[in-house]
Amino acid sequence: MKLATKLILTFLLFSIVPLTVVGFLAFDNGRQAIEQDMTDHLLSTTLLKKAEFGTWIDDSKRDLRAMAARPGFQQITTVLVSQDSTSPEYRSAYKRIREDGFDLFLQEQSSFLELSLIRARDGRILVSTYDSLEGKYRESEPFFIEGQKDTYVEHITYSMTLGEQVMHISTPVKDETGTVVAVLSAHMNLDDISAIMTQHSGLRETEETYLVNTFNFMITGSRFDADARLKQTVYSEGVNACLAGHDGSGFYNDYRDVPVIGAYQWIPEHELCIVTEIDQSEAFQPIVDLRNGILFIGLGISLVVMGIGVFFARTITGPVYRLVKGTQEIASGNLAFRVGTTAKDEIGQLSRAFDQMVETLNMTTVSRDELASEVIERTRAEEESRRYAERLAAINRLDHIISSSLNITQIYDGFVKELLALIPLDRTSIVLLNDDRSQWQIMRQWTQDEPMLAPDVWYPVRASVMEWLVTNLVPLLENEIGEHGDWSETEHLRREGLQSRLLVPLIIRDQVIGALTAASRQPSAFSEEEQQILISIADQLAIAIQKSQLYEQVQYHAAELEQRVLERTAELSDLYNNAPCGYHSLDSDGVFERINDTELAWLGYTRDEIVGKVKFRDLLTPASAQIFDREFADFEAGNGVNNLEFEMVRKDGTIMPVLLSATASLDPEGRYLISRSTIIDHTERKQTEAELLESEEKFRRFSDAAFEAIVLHENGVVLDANNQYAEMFGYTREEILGKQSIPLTVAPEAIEDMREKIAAGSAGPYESIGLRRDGTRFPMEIRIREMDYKGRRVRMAAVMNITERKRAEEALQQRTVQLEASNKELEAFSYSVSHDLRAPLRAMDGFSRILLDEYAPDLPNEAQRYLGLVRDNARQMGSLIDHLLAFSRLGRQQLKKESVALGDLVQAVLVDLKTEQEGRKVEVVIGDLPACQADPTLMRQVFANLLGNALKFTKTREPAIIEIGCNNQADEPVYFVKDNGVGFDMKYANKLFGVFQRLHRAEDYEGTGVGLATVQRIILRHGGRIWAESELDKGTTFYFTIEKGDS
Amino acid sequence: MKKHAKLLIIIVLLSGFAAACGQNSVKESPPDPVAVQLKWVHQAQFAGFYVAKEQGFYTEENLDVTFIPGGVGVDLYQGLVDQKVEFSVAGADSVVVKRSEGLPIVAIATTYRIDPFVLVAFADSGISSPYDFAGHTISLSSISNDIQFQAMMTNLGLDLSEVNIVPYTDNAPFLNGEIDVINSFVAGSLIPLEAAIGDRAINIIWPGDYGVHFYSDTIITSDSLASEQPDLVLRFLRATLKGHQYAIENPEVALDATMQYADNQDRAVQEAMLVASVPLIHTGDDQIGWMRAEVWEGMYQILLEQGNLEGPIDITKVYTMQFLKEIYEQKP
Repeated sequence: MKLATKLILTFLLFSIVPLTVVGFLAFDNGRQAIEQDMTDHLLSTTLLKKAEFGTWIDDSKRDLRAMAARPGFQQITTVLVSQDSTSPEYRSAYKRIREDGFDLFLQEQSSFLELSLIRARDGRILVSTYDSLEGKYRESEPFFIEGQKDTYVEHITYSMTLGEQVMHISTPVKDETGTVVAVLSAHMNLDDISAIMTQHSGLRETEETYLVNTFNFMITGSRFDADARLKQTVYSEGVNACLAGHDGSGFYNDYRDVPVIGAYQWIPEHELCIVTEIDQSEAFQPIVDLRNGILFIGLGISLVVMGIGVFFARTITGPVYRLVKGTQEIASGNLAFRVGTTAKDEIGQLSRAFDQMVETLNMTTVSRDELASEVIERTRAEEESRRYAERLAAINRLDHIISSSLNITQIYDGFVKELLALIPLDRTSIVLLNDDRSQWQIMRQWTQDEPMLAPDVWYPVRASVMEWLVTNLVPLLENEIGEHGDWSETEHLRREGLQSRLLVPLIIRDQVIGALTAASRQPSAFSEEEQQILISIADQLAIAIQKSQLYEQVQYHAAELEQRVLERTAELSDLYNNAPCGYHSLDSDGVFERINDTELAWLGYTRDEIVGKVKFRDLLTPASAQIFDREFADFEAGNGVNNLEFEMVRKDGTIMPVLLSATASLDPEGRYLISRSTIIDHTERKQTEAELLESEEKFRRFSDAAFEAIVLHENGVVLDANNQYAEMFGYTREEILGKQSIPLTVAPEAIEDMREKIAAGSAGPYESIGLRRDGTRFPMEIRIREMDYKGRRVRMAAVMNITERKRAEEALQQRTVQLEASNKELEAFSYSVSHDLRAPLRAMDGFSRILLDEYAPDLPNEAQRYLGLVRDNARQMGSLIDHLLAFSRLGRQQLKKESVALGDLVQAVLVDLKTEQEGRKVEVVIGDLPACQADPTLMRQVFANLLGNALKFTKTREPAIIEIGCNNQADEPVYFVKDNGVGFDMKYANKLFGVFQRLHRAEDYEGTGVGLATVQRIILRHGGRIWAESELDKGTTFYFTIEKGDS
Repeated sequence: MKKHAKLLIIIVLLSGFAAACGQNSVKESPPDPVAVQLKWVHQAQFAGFYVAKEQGFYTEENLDVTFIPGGVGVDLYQGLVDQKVEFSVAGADSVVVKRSEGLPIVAIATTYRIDPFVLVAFADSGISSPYDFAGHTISLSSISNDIQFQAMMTNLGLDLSEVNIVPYTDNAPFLNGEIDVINSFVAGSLIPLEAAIGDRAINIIWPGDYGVHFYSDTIITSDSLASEQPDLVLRFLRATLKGHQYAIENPEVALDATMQYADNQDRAVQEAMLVASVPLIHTGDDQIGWMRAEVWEGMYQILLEQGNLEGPIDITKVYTMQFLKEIYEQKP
């Protein structure tokens, strides 16, 4: 910048800064004063108008009340309300009240527009100064209803009859007995109110006062819109505050959206808001004038100062310019140039000295030394670029090390090798911090070229140089060890003869995770460049460490996932193999592809003997094989089969009746892929049937009065029958004898089948359809035996109505289907619980944790506490899900019973529960506990839950007393766990063992509400019972039994 | 270490979230279609509805509203029951009657809180109140007129048989003196009637002055919609009331909106109708749309006494304050 400009600007600066400050202060003070003045003015206007309004109302009330109380008026009113309107008394009273009363009153009082006398009985207007109102009814108007009680001022409303806003004041009129007989109502002149609001000498051009009702409607005219009454709504800040019951003032935009200053007052008795406002543009006009004045004066002063500045600059800069020109001439080679001045001031002296210098310079030649120094300079540059290339190569190799290995030790060693090749060091090490950065450890250390065994010791960060690094996040250079502080390791390093050191923090995502250290036996051993190299190596190292740690974590998580898959597979396989029914799958040739343990056990084969080798058909009896052949073709086409009866041949040759249901999986083209079959053991039912048959036959043979329906026939002709038989078909015994039994008792559609069976000599039992006399049908089962009867070979048939049985069979089948469905649902539910429920929980926990980790400094303590609560609750729910899953698995788990020494088990459980007893006084009494046959894992859960509960609910007791023992009752051991805890009300005992049922508030006693449900399920599975006895505030005892048994 | 765990958590979570987003991508749901059956042909009577639509108040509530004009013989109620329309505008008294016939409909707000029905007589005829009706001929146009007229006369203890009632045809019999009192509607037929009368003074007789207080235009919906989709009803009513408020504050906007629908109507007449309707909608007490139990009860008593209902009903089931309360209690 030129000197002249500098001078002018300096002058300006010295004038403008104080001017601005003084001007601003003056303006600000002025503005505040004017604002305050204006607000005060508005407030006082508002108060004044409020008072005027109040006075106006009070005066009007007083006047009206006075009129109603006049004895003459009361007398006339009594006549009007009691007499018929056609009577002369009425007419005369009417005339008096109109002419001498109302009309006179209105002449005196300008604030009343109209007066009405309303009959209290029905609201009819008897007299009105508006003729048109007489005879009308005001029975539902508030001013009539309220006016009967006391003088009442109505809120302003719109009258359809009058076609304008109205406000009524009303007052009761009483007869001499004091009974209210009429209401005197006055219609107030709202123009008066408007006039009060708008006409005031203090009002400025944009200043206005208006009233707003509780529905935000303006009820007096607006200065800007005379038609605004009850039409213009006002939702301005001031009105809203006022309607909320506040008095005050403020700066805001009014209903026209124009910025105003407003003052407002709430008038509770009339539910009105009175507002006085003035446009800010008008109110602030004096402020604008003041501002303009200050600006104008300031500008004038600045111009004068600038003029003075220009004058001074001219006198100083002239000679200087000449001197500058001289310098330029010399530089361009004109050594003959002289400034030549006679001035006596400092610039004159300078000019003469300059001329003398040019003289000397003229005589001197360029020195040779300059050339030599240039050579040295070049050599140094070459050296520099060579080292730069070396450094680049080393960094390149470091990159290679990072990308080629994930082994952190290899990476450390590779790094140091490269580092030492670049910088000779006496000592270097890699130091890592633990997760919470409270301790550090030397991971690797080298003394000169030799890796040294780093001691496996954690040192506290506090007071060590690491604390400085963690706080400052920048490298620390100590040219003299100890010069920046006396840290815990400083003395040790000095003793080892190290003199200077450089520590570079390893930073990942703004956090220090460790440091790269270098030390030398020389003081100030690290050049600027070496420092740079160490810093960039540290950066690379940090990346390598991060990568390696990430890799470790990924590996860890992969292993975890694999473990989960294994668990899940095992669970499913367990479900498949240990189902109480047989499962198998056949390929398109009918060969076993898969079979479960249950079915294998039934058949007596091992899996290797069957799978891929044996056809299902080969395991069937010939009769069943035929059925199979017939059904399989249809089945292959994709039609499932249900409850087919088959007889399978076990490995030992015995027959096993089964029920088979199966579905076929088809590919998209409809080709058969594989079957899924369920097999149910049918042996028991078959045996029962056989036994039944046998006993029936015996019975029939011995008793003609059998319970069965029995018939004897020869070639279909009934020889004899018992009553049961006749009744079954709706006949008497006599009606049947000698008849052909088949057309009489068998439904036509079943006759042919029946005849075939008889012809084949089948003894049955077989099913057919019975026909009653009335034409109704029922399913029946028939068994036939040939026997000698009075010397002839006849057939005896026993007939059973199997309607009930059929029904039961159907029900059974339905139940099976339902069971399968619910099994599947359960599986789906477990899946959904373990995965779907957990995912959002993980998300909640994860994000809350990130919030806490990343943003904790930005969050208020309260927010952090809430986030902590969110995490606690998410974890709580996680634990709930775990318990619930375990609980649901209980039902499917196989019991592994063995002899359990309960005494030892209880001791072990108490050890596990040690933390719950810490800091408390707990007395545990373990009585004699006989061993039992049970699943030890599950029994441990039982005691863990019961003792856990006992400890939990005695936490308020000092001392807590817990007793575990066993009573022998009726030869059955009854185990118990007794505590002196808070107990519960026995009327809730039925809720005790339900899932998620809690008898105490979660705030008082933690827990998921699954524990006792689990306990109950375990006990029930062991064939035992569990119950509890409790008394509030005394304690609880849980009793349980376990099925005795050597089974 | 901590940092890495966090990174992993974020990756796992983000992938989970991405999957979740794929399933239920968060989209603005399309506006709910709403059909409104109007009580009469398009005219300024329904300006509040038009304004709500044209000013985007319905869109703000995510509603796509269409208006179905009414007319002679248009059933205002069956569409609600058949779920062809979501809302209707109908006379409050007819809602009570329909409800007594078993129609599952319910009133949610009243836009005309004063019935515009009036009786008009020339001032020089000397008829200024119902007391003057005896011996005169009066025209009435609807059942609703009839009910209010009868109720008014009964309240005053006047004899109906002394009045000659004829059905309304047009204004001509009144103008040429054949009938003495004509039925009319403020904010409706009164406007052309006054225009036809010119300078001659008239008396307007309000049933409201003689103890008969009827609500008129009322927004109704079906019981099922009110109970199953209360949110839809609430949004519709909120926008509609906002439209009415806006129409009162901005009559020019309301007139423009009206003319978009009533494009074959005379603008000047519509303007007069709009101005005249303001006091019916905004009576100065209570909020726009607000309903009072005593008015419903009064209407019900009159309808019951005159035998217009199938039988006694629970009048409090005919209307619901649920939505009005929710709307006005939320307002600032």
